[in-house]
Amino acid sequence: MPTRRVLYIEDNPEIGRWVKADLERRGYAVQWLMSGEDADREVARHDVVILDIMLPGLDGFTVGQRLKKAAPAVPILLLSARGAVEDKLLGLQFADDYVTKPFHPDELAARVEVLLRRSGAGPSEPIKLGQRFAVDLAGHTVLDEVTGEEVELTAKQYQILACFLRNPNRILTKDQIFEAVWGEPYIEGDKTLMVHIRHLRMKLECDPSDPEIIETVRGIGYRVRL
Amino acid sequence: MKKTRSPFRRYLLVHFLIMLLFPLLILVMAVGVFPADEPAATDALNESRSATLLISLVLAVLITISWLFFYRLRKRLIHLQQAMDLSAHTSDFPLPVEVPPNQLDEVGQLAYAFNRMIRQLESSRNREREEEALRQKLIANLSHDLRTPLTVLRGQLVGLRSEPLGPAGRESLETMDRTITRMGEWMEELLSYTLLTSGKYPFRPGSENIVRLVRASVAAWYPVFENAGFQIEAELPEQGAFCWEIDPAWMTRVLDNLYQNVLRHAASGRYIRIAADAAREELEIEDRGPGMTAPSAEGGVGIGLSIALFMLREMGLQAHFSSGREGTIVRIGKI
Repeated sequence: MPTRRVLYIEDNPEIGRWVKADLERRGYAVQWLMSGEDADREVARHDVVILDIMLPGLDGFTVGQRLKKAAPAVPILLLSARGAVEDKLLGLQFADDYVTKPFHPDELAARVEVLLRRSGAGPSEPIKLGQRFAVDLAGHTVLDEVTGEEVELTAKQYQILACFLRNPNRILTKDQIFEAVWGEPYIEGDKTLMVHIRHLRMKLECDPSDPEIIETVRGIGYRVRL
Repeated sequence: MKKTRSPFRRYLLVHFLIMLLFPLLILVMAVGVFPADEPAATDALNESRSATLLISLVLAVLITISWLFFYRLRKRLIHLQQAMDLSAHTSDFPLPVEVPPNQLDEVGQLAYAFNRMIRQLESSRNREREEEALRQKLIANLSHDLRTPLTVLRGQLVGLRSEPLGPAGRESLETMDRTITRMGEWMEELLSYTLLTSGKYPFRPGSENIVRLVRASVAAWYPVFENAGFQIEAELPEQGAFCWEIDPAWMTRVLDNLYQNVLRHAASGRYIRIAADAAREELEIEDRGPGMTAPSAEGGVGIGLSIALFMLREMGLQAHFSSGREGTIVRIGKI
């Protein structure tokens, strides 16, 4: 798996040191800058940016906007000691996620991983699904490792599966899935999604009536655990 | 203020009537009542008439002057009252009343006093605004200044985890880690409460499908309750959803705070039920914790709950708590 490159901009040396060490321990290649002045020249060579808001000189909001302009495809995660809602709203106009200090390193790593997966810079190796399937998100294929054959999915079935895999272990409500896949508001009572999920289960589950891969969370939605 | 009949108006009316009627009455009496038959009597009568006319004239002049005086006085007082009334209808203070240099009498002094009071109030309000801004800045800065060392502390804890430690040492690390998380949450709550109560928390209300919103909120919290060993019951029917005029971000925050409270103070019950009653347009959050009056090991001053209640009130909603030893039920509905 190629090393994912993280551009980390943080002025506090103590926090910077331990976050860099923690991310490197998790397998990321981290370039740590203590100010955002030259960051726009570096951003294109990275897969994700972790940006502190309170920086000396140019503040994180300005730096973030410049970075987004320089490399729109590179996701930005804001890291801040300021918890005000306005700050979050202002930050999320250009950033893809927002973490408030004192964050937990596991939370930071999990959010970085989600951003990488969403941007397509996630793991390029196939994702293991249940006991027998491997999903290659880059190649848009699902392989049955027992038979060695590709599982044929319709475009919508694949999009639903990819939506689950981009949000692993999260419970997604019907309207969240519908809006992500169809791009339209979900109408209560619409059975389209349920029909697609039933067909998907018939192709992926050993026993579709007792699903192990696409779990139903009663009254709430569905979840795929990885 | 309830208006009563103006004594000035009545006074002026009576004055006007007297001014008109009194000389007329005297004239009628002088001309019509005493007919002149004899020359001596005629002279005396003429003198009497002249005196009467003179007195009437003087009286009329006096009454006119008096009427004009009270008319102008009333006009100035009404002008002053209108200026004062402005403050009752708008949030801004009224503009100072203009006092011409030739009107520095008692009413002028009153207007001056009024202007002085306006200036004092304005200065006081400006000072209050400055203090409020300073308080908010202080809390925001305090929040930032405390979060940074907490993050450093957490970094040190993470470093310590990789060191060889006994069970007691690991337990201490976990306690410290939990405390850091809790302090971060307290600071966030404090900042949010300050912003809320000063009207600085963004509020964007709209018609929102409440069942859908609650379902998304439960979906986000489900794994947290699951990890804490809770039995989770969600009764959120797809049919019969209802809408409330709310800010979705505020409502999500309210639910977050209520779930957080269940996790902190009712974890021993290991149960949570979240239900939407479309017929009564109500939400219910039930736990089987020790109740709201029971002491909690997690402590806290209840800012999270205060935030939730404040937000509900602002959105025209209210929460009703039924709490006992068997647990707590929070019912949220329209006021």
